[in-house]
Amino acid sequence: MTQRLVGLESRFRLALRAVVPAPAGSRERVRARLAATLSALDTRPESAPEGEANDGHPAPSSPNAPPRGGLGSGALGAGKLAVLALVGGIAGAAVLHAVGARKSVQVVYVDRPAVPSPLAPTAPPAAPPSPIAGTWGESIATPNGPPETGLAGARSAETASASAHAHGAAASGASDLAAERVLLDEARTALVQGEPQRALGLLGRHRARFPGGVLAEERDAMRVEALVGAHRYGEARAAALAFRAHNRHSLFLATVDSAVESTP
Amino acid sequence: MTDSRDRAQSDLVALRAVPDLSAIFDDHFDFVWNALQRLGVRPADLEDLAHEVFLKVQARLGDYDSSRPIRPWLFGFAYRVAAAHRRLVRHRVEVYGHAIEPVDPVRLPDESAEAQEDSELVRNALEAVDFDRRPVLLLHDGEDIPVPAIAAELGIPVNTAYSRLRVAREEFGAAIRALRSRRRAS
Repeated sequence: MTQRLVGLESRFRLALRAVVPAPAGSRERVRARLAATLSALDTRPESAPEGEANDGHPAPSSPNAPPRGGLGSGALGAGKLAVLALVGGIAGAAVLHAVGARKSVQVVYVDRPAVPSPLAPTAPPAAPPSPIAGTWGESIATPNGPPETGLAGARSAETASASAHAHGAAASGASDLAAERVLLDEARTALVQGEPQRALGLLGRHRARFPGGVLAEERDAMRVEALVGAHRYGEARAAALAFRAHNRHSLFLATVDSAVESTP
Repeated sequence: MTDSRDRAQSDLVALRAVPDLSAIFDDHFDFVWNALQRLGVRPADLEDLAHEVFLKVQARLGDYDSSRPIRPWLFGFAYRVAAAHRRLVRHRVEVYGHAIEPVDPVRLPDESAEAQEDSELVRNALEAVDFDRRPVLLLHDGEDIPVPAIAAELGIPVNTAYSRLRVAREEFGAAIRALRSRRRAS
């Protein structure tokens, strides 16, 4: 597999490979927390803390488990354990104090397989799609409102305010994109699970919410697959034709063609 | 001042006492940070999750095969931690309290405006790549790790890894082009 990101300029490949340093102070804060946590963990019983239950991986079995922590192990007496527990607690408190109290955010957990609304602030109505069709970008509606002003500001980037605009705009664009991604992920999951009707519903929601979204092309391609899955072959063929007409150079054409070819 | 020096010293002692963790942390903290960021972790959560990653690394140090490159191994931790966090975030709603302050992205002094834009664009475009496919793209095209090694690290069949890489490239390339078109239009 020697093929690279065909068609992309080398600068984007370079950006993909670049390791950008973490913000100042982050390394030190994480290091301090890690040291404090390891000190505290070292005083706990063997069975306690490091299981990976929340990521689906088992806790390390004892034979493979590395030496715990750094402040001694195994032959610690109860007195020493108590001292270490105290030291760990004090270290943790000191680190928390040094790092400074974070602004409190109240968090509630709700049981919903939702598209997180906080990710998608209400956007102004999208402008009509560009009349020029044929490529990815050209088939996408021209956005309006703050993002453009921010990105334009970033390009000229001489002033602090332009920089701030750019940062806000980038965050907003990333949020929209993340929300788009969530919807399409849900739709793809539904499709794979043999629920094309549910997939179509989710794709419809994406279309209503992001008519000219960055992922509109992927959505329209997936819609063809979902229509085939729902045995709505006539609509699938029509959707495929429309897709081809508007996205003549799309990377998703193979997917669309393959879906339609599978129809009776 | 003395307190903070003492604290730093004791931190260092604690880390040094764990075989190799200190060196791994020093050498690869930025890599783990970037991996989490590219896996879609919010700036406000990056420190918490980086901390969690290194805790898990510490717990599994005994499993590390030093004949293999370390970055894919570390990336595996970052991926699993980010995936677990992602599942939680989907169900989380913030109310009342203050908004979380975004962490300003770091700019290298000699980093050109163009490079900064590219870096930002790549981060945004990665959001368009399906979460399960993203690691294959990042490890293969970002780190030159062979696909079979990635498959082994992620615990997926090799053919699945190739398939994910192909689709991830399509998604990433399409998103780059779309985002650039938007910029040009603005």
